[in-house]
Order: sequence, then structure tokens, then C-alpha cells
Amino acid sequence: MDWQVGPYYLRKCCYELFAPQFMQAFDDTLVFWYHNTIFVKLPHKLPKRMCKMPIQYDEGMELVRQGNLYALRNGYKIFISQGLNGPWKVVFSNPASTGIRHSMVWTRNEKEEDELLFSEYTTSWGRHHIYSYNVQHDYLDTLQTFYSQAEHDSLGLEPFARHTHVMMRDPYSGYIFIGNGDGNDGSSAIYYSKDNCRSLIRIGAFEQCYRTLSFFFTEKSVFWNNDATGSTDEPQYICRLSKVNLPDCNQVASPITKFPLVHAAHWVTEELKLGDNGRVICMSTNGEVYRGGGVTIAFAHTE
Amino acid sequence: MIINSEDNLEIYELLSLPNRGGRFHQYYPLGTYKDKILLMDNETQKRAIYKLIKE
Repeated sequence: MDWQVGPYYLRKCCYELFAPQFMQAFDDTLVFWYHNTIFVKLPHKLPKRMCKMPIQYDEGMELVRQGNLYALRNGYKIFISQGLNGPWKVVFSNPASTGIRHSMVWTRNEKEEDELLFSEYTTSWGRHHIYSYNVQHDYLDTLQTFYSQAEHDSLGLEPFARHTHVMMRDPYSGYIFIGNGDGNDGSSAIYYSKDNCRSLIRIGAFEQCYRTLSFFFTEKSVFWNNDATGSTDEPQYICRLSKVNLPDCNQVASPITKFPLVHAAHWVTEELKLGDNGRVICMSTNGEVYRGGGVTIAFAHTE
Repeated sequence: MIINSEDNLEIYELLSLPNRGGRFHQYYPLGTYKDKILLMDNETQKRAIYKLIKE
């Protein structure tokens, strides 16, 4: 294994002997899966077993929390539980619909009711939706529809998407950002919402630089990676948009800064904390034939 | 190795792993905890925890 020389590097510290199936941190609390069982690890304490929860599809698993409410995307199902001991209630199930990595956001509506917003990724080239699930009323609603490629091509319906890749919340503004793919025909597009997905504003489209798989945020800017593949031979960037330039109506393009990358398309954004200062964002690379695989760290300074 | 630096963004390529010529994400992140990241080798399904070190 070759290591790149630099002020930061990754050191393998655990392999196979104890490798959890999945883990998610909430501040100092670590939640992890081991042998299809949920464990919680608090600082300086031994892990505590919570309950059984077999993993269906670990790529695309996501666990998000609001207060004591947890939502878990596991395979094609979304579960909700008060606490991690369960019982886990299935609130959404569709064998054609999954997430990739970041596809769920907790919100509260004007009545202070808990609402889970989630997007979906399908490979069927059908419609994609953004849903809300109201916990107090046990009510599932469809907030947005992205029409299929065929509906767009034959009927001109907008907006459309081949896939919805990502939905994340900016912790600073509270705005929700959505990334769609894959083509240069308008299916690749980035949207944001100021009102919990009741309306969307398009930031840009029609270029591979608006085809993304994940976002990361600083106080003043939003960044996203590119999902352009080796097959299209598009250059790869991390893009930055200052939040003062967020549009008020749909745009074809916004004033973004592009940071070139030397390797292939980047996958999912993860946040690592190094010490008390700064945020480190990790994005694993695709293993493109001509470009090689690897792990890239984008370090966003505090602004 | 810094491969780009401007204003408030620095990009480091940290880890080169064997390329098997696959189309999709060979090393999939399955979660983070502080300075640790759990990566899954997409082909072998093996998992390893890596720690981020600052020299």
C-alpha cells in the first residue's frame, strides 16, 4: 500500500478483527453495527448492546437523529424509533427505492411536529420523489416529483432526473440541498430549498459540474463534488458557491469556483474531526479504470 | 500531497489503494467517528477502520 506524503495521512488501525458493519457518530456518542446488532459507545465506557437490526444493504445506510427520534435507512426500508432500543417502525418501503449515503433530513414544521424528509435513488429510470413523514400524524406525503427521462423527452415535463443522488441540510442556514444526475440534458442539476422542500430553486444544471453525490458546508459557502465518470471523460472538480450568490429563482448556472481534482469521480462526503479546530471532509474516489482509486481529503478551513 | 489550495479549501490525496479497474466506488465510507473512518472494500466486502493523522 502506497501512502501519499503530506501533513495528513490515514493509518489503518483496525482490520477485520473488529470492523463494525456501519457506524454513525452523534457528538461523542458512537452508534455502530456489529453482527447485525446495534451498539452504543459512550466515551470511556464499554459498548452497550441495544437491539438486533439486520443490515439489508450497507451501501446507502444512514442513521439520523432529532432529539430522541432516530430514522434509519436500511436497504429499501426506512425505520423510525424512539431511542435505539426499538421497536423500529417501518414508515417507508419500496423495493425499487434506496438512498446512496445522505438522503434523509429531520425537520420540524410550523406546529413543531417532527418531519422526516427523504429522497430516493432508483435504477429504474422512473420518477423520483421527495417525501415527508410526519411522526405525530403517521402521515406520508409527497413533496416533490422529478419526472422520468422518458416523460421529459416525450412530453417536456420538468423538473426531471435520472437519479436523485443526495439530499443534505446545511447546518448553518437550515436550507436543504438536493443533487440529481446524470446527463447534460438538465437531469444533472442542483437545487436548494428554504422551506423544507415545499419549493425548490435550481442553482444550476446542464453540465457535469452540477452532477454531484454529496455536499459539504461552511458558514459562508456550500461545496459539492462531481460525479462525472471516466466514460464521459469529463474533468473532475470540487465546486464552491458562496451563499450570498444563492439564487432566488431557477438558474442555468451560478457563479461557482472550481477546484480541479487529479483523480476520478468522487463519491460520498464524510466529515472527520481533527482536534478541536477545523473540519476535515473525506470523499472516497471511484476506482476508474484509467485514473486509479484512492481516498481524498478536502480540508475546509474555518471561515 | 496538496493537490489544490485556494482560500478556504485544501485538497489532499491521502491514500492510494489498488485499482482493480472497477467502475464504481471501491472504497465506500460506512461512517466516521472523530478522526476515524470506516471504509469498505466494495469488491471483497472487507472493512477497515482508518485513523486520520496529522504530522
